[in-house]
Amino acid sequence: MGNFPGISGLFFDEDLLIRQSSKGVYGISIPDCGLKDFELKKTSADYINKKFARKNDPGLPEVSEPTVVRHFIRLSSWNMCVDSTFYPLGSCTMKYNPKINELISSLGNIKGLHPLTPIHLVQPALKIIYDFNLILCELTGLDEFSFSPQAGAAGEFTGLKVIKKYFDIRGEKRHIILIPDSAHGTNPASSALTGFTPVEIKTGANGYIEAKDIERHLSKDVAAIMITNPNTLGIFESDIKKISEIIHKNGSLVYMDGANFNAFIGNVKVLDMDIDLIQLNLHKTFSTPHGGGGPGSGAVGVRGFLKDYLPIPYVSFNEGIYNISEDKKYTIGRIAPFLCNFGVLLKAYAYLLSLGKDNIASVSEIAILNANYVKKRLGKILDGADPFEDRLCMHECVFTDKAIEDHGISTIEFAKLLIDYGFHPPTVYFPKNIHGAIMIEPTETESIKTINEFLKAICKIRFKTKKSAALKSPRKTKVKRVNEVLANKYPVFKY
Amino acid sequence: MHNFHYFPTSESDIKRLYSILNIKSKKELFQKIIGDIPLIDANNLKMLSGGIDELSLFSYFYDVALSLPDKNKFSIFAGGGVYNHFVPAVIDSLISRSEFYTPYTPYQPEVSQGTLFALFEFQSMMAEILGMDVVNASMYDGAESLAEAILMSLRLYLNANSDYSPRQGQQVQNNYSSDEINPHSNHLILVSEGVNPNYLSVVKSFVNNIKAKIKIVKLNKKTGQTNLNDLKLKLSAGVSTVVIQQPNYFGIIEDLEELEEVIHGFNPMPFFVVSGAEPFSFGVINPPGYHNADIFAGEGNSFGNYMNFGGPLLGIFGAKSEYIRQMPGRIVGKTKDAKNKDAYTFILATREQHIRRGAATSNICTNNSLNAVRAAIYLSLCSKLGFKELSLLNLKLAHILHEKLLKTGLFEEWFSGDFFNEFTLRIKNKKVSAVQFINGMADRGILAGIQIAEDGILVSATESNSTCDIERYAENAKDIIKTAV
Amino acid sequence: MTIKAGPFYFSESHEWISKKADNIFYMGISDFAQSELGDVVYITLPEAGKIYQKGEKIGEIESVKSVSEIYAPVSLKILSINSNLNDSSELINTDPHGSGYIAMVEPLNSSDVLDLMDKNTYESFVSSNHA
Repeated sequence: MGNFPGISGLFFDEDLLIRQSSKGVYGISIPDCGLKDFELKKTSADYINKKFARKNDPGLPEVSEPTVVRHFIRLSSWNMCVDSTFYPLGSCTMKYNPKINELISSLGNIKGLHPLTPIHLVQPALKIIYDFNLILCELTGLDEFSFSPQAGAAGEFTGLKVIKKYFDIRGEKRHIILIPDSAHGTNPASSALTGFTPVEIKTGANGYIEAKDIERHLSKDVAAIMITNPNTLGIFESDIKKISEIIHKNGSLVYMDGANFNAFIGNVKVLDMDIDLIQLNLHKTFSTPHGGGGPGSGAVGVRGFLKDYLPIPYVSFNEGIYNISEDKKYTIGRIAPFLCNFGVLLKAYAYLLSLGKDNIASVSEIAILNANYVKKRLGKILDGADPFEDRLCMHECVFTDKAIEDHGISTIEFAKLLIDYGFHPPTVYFPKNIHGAIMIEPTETESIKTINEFLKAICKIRFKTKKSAALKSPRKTKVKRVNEVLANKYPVFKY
Repeated sequence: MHNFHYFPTSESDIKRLYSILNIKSKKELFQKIIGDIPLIDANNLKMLSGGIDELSLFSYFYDVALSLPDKNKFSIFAGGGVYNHFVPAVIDSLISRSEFYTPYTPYQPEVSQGTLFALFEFQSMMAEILGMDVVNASMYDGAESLAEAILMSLRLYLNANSDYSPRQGQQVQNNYSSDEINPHSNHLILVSEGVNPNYLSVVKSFVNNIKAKIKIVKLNKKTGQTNLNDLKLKLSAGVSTVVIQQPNYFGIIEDLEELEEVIHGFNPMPFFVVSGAEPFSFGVINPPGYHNADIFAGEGNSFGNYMNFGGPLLGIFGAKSEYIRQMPGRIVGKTKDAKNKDAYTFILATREQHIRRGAATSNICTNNSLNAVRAAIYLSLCSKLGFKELSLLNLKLAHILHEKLLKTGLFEEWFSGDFFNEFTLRIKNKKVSAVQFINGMADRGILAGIQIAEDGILVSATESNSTCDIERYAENAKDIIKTAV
Repeated sequence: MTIKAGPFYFSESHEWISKKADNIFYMGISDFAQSELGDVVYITLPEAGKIYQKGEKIGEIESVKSVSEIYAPVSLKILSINSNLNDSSELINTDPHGSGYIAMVEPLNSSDVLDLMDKNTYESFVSSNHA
């Protein structure tokens, strides 16, 4: 495969730890807490009623420290990650996760902080949360952010609860949330969870929701529109201001799903689109690592008139003291047990400080340039597959399976083939309104050289790959094509 | 001008990109995309300074860390849902592998076997510890996990008791607020007073969107266990769920056997949901699965994770296997690859938001996988014997502390029930409030507990506390309480 | 007009129904529907004895990454379900018009069946709508 970074080396096999057990072995150094001999000899029956006592030990492995280390190191080698290769997963913003931020958040006194430590001892931590809020407010134009939500979907839930409470207080019964068909599945799911009825609106031929199409969905039942901008097609919602106006005229609110804020950061204030509230995914735009599935943080920002509805607790500042406050008049209540995912927020804050005002605007500018470069080049390679050929995209672009299907290759095979070239596949089969969708997000931390290698691989797949090879892909991974039918038909969920 | 060090694109690269796209400037680029929406000039931002170099940035946060309580000197005896357990060096070392912390959710199983395998081991070990059939790949935290458990129990209850959707295992439409699909609009959820009050608040935020009410089942004032008579009194037709925390918020071990008999003995049968914030207890006491719990939903942060000032934590969600299709969140399953070798992948995704959208069992997408992998490494290190030994050590230290503090004569027992590693005390000296005591102790380098009443504190001990720390706690407590006027 | 045993009648939502004997019909999903779904991994069957109105949801079919609803092609009563599907959901893929049937049913009004499409009409319906 010439210059591609495709893996061609050695994979270690590794069995479940439970199958590597030797009776009596363990891998942890138990702290010597200074117990006296007679205390060491006691059993649980000396302290608690024996009817509570557990008789059978849980079936954990019995392995030493080096066995555990080798095990997990071997497992780690079976993962692709953003540090090892281009990871253009659309709408996931897989940008570089700065190492300094990891170092900062792992400082002992920070990671070891108990959430219920008296506030006079945690002033610097509270200050970080407070200051981060001020920066996000300025970047978005909104008036206050809540950091309670633990991830994007929790942010949506929080925002929708704010909307619900807002209308409850006004004595209005509105139960519909308008959601474009290209929206992430969390949008309708969060709406249902909040007791709303999600109603789907169709994306127009140009890739965005047309204001004139909104009218017919309007009624006194509409609480809000939940609009991802730029949407999951990578297209800017061009009618957003008109839509906001129409929605507001209807007495409804505009919720923006800010999962794709990487397209705006430092250049556009979302308030200028007349939105009312937004969630920002700190694990996307703000460079915190995704951890193979989390943790994240889904900060929710609102305009002034919704501030009193935000979750509690929050950080306030008065007479030189930072406080953890719960005095919000119409608060929707608590979303998380403590203040926020501080360990995540801290990294996002450090990221913004590193960038500073002199570099922050380059984030979205380069992200957009990269995506449009991919769109333009790939539009030629995958002839006829760009559904929005005449438009510029924002931070990501999407293609249909037309060109590859003409060549006999399906989207899933295309994805698996890319793996053998050493690239993580794009998001596939999403959004649903694009046939066999291939959705590519090359963030600002990817070089043109990397993108060119990726495009070259696609070129080879498009023009040179035989169907028989596609069916057998991926060939170079630790495991070959995973049998998902078997996995779902006969679920095995533990050893 | 040089590039910012996170951007591989040089000035001339940027120029090249513009020329390829046939666009002259950033202004034109944005104008073509966003029309008349104004561009901001980041240089005018007031809340953001100029970029800070790495050395200065580190030194700034190093100072922040220095001005926080010193992790290695500050003795923490506060729990309340987050416990200060020892984290072996192996965990940070392994988790610092980019392969673990920098991928996305494993959507492409062939290139994510490491994460999937580790999560499968996590699910398996947690299922063993809890005695539950199936545990998912994590939720956010104990509170959110419990809220989701209650929603799930409601769906199951509707399935079991409504003519509307009687088919076993079928997905119930998720629009809880509509009378149409929820003919029983008088559902009651009974929650023990022993459930962490923060969890209860979060549960309320989830449940107040649906037509179900929460009623609190009181604690026995003497033992601190859930009051069985009050439970019996409040059980009625329409009670879909009873929630008990084990050990409860006040550290007391609940008699799950007795409770289960009453709960499952009632007709129509409510679902028995057990919560918990300290799964270490299940090294010593019977886990919820042994008492026929339908769902366990709680916190797993004690296993290999730091307290992180309250987040991220690690939500645990387990259930009986017959309810697996109503579970929220990701579940990893074992299967085969094309060459018939063992392989792992997410299973039963049709429950989830990306497929079932508005009718999904939950809206959760990103969860706390990395925290779950930490827990998997931790539990592997602990192994069978280490886990039991550590659990026993927690039990012993808490009892040593308990005895020592009572012996000072400054405190009296609040509840008499058996406890694991956390307990409650009343400060006898009326001149010292719980807050004053805690603040005073904190200034002496001891986080003495959490206020639960004007004169009541909740205290915990873990293997991070030595008998010396316990001694120091007692001495300082004497100082503060005796010298108060 | 009486309905003959044997021929298949199809709904626009891709269910079929076919007479076996007096007041006993089989129903299932069409070969086209199963091919669109891909490998079926799980099925939620209707309840025997229950009455469903035409167009009402009676069950669900899941593949790895999709969920499809099964609708009553006519108003009907479920006589018995094909419980083989619980363990062998692949029958829907391998033999959708035979052993992969969903249920034995009794139409509330058997002449309703004649309002459905016959095989030829259904085939042209499929090719014109899903080109």
